[in-house]
Amino acid sequence: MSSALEMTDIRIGFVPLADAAPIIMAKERGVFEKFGLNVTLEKVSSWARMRDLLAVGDLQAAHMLAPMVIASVMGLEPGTPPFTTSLALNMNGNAITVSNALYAAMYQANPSAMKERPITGMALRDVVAARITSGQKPLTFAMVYPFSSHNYQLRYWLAAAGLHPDRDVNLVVVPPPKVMDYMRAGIIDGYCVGEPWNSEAIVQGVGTTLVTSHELMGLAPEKVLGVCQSWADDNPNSYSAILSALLETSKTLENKSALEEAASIMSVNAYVGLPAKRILPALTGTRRQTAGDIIQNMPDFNVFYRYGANYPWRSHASWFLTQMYRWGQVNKAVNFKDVIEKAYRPDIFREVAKRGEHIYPTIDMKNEGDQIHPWVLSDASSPIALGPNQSIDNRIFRHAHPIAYLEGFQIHNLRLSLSELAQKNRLG
Amino acid sequence: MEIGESPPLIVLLIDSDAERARIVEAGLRGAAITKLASSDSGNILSSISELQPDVIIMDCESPDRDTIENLRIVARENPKPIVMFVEDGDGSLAKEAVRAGVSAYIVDGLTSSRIQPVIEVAIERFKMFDGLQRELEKSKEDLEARKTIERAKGILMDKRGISESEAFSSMRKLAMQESITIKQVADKILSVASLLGDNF
Repeated sequence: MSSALEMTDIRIGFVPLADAAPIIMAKERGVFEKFGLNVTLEKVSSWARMRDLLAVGDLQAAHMLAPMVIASVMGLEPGTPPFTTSLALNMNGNAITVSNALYAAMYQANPSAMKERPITGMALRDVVAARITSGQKPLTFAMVYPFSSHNYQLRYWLAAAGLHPDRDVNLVVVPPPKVMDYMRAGIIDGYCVGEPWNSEAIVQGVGTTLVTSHELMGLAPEKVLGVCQSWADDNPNSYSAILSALLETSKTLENKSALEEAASIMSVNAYVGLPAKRILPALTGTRRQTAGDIIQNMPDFNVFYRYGANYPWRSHASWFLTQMYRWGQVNKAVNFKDVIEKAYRPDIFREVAKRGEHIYPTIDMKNEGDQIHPWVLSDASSPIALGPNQSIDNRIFRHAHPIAYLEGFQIHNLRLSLSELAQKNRLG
Repeated sequence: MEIGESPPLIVLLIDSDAERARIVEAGLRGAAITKLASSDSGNILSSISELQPDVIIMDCESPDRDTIENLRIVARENPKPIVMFVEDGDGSLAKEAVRAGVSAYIVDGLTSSRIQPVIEVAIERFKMFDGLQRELEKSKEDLEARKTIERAKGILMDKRGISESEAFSSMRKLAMQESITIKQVADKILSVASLLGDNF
């Protein structure tokens, strides 16, 4: 298909993080041009700003937190029109890091729990309990945005150890480039952010990484390319061209030398503005620090293409929606199917993938957390190799039963009755 | 309403543009206590908790925007009006600012004399908007708070072997002592009960 592009001058926003690599490299390597687009990149300093620039049409596409797309469809971002996505930019890439002081306190409180791999929040629970007994103020943890994988991952990890994230600790939002300043000043005791801001804490001697998101929840969905639904409807060919360019670029990022080149290009101030050697480990997973003292190669620390990483699984959207309910971000019952079918468009991905000769899944949903070994997805244009995906508490998300999954959580902040939600989600 | 009546307004200015900050300070001189927090360094959370500002003025490109927005979601009991600087070409960004829930915005061409009126409008509009929002949220939250208080009361009765009215009055006493709400006391009791278990 070579239909005319409705629009060729395209502005795409990115936040200076390691996982903006596919967008930045598509621009730097002239891949957008190859697909007939004249793309300008805009560095954006906050997710709120990204949302607003996309909403008013100053940007046509955006590096975006996956749950922001769902929140926009749910009407949770005030005044923002519904966004949509047809392409995930990466899987994994986050980690939970705590101050050196908190790490020491955790070790002292419960040395055996700290030797478990991956590290659970059990030692933290002991520290929090001791602080309550001695009347100290609650610990404060930071994440990047209320509708973010970081927020849900941090909460998941805390709650899996019996800590209630809204009651037993204090949660705040801090922009990733500032987390270290906040931790040095003792304003926060830990955080869940993307790279390079966990590695930086170690390089700068400010903190210790406890657990990577990959260990917490294997092959977890991370950033997506977000666009306005109305723009996608009006500009299907230009939209496809952007997706094609990004998918092609993502494929090249499977190669080590391409990642080295990406780290070097992203080191300039106009992009991330840190030395290449400090960006590279975020992309390759080499010499990754986790569980405090362990340094290991973790090739799946961040995934740009393999395992069908770019596919917008509707089961991912559905999982995010369960977490929005779990933590009281929504108090109105919605039909899950209605929301996720607008938010995530795997049908558009499949068209683009077919044209570019990429393999693609032929189903929209899969279970999450049910694979402890590498496995092969056969519901695909040709079989796709996938990795393990278990979560830290071995819970399984069965995509056909999101409400039953929600019922399984003892720690939550539900603001509606699950029977009300079940009613909305009955078939027919 | 007029700025200048006592007590003076406390204004937190989050901006890394020194020239613009100077104009704002000049415009508010004598009418408000202004504290400048540069966007490039420093932490906004401490500034807010120390200062308890009546109004926050910030640059729309500030990296601290997500922090401020989240405070407004979490601290539903105590949100602040926000005024945002917008460099504007075609007017769409001004719409953006309003849409984002910003009470008022200052487009470029900032002069000292415009600062006070803009802040007054921001506070008025915020009061109106906030009032509506609160009414919508209040009944639902009251219900949630009541449930939490009931659970905490049940725990106290169970663990201490006291009556319902004794449990409630001890919670009320603690709330008054620590000047927090009964809901916050209830939250603490739930924390203690779940984390300390039988040692409670």
